[in-house]
Amino acid sequence: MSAVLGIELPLGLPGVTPHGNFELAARSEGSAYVWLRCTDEPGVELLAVDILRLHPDYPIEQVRRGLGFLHLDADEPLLVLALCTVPPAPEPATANLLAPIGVGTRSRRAAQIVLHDARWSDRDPLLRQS
Amino acid sequence: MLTLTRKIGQKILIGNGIEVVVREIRGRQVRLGIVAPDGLPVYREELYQDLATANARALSTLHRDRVATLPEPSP
Repeated sequence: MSAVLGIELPLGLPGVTPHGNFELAARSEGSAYVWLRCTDEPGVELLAVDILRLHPDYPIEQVRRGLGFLHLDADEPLLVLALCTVPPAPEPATANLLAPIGVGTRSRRAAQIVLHDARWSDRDPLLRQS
Repeated sequence: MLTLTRKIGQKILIGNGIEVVVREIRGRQVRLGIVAPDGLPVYREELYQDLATANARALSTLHRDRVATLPEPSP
């Protein structure tokens, strides 16, 4: 991913903002973590993680089907992100694997969808990876 | 709020491509059929509220000092 990638979420982010213009910026070069900032609404900034770096077996085709209304090309590469909840320690830092954000990296259009798949949690611990 | 009265089998059309049809009425429950453009999210309100709550929590509890300490995923 380039240093900063402008993306559009036409439906906004439920519970956060109805606005749709965002930018993604890696936490550091090569990091799986990215900042997701709403450029329409200063102060709206969340941490997200590249799910495939956590779970290479994540069902990316389910995500692609859920993004149907974005009319991405069938071969368009997808970046699949999970929003992270990072409260002060000792509360666990978690990722929401149940509601991924799929980003078409060519069209730069994206949306958050909900998987109907009990294998994935909306509070998957991040620190289990360490 | 627009309020409409429909019978079983009758539809409501929303915009250009969304149909809601009353499939069945059983006691206090109504079964609805929904036709929407491919992939357009359609949620029960409770599910949408769960999603909105989780997103809002991710925003409101973000502890920036801790972000730098999160380890990269193992390869």
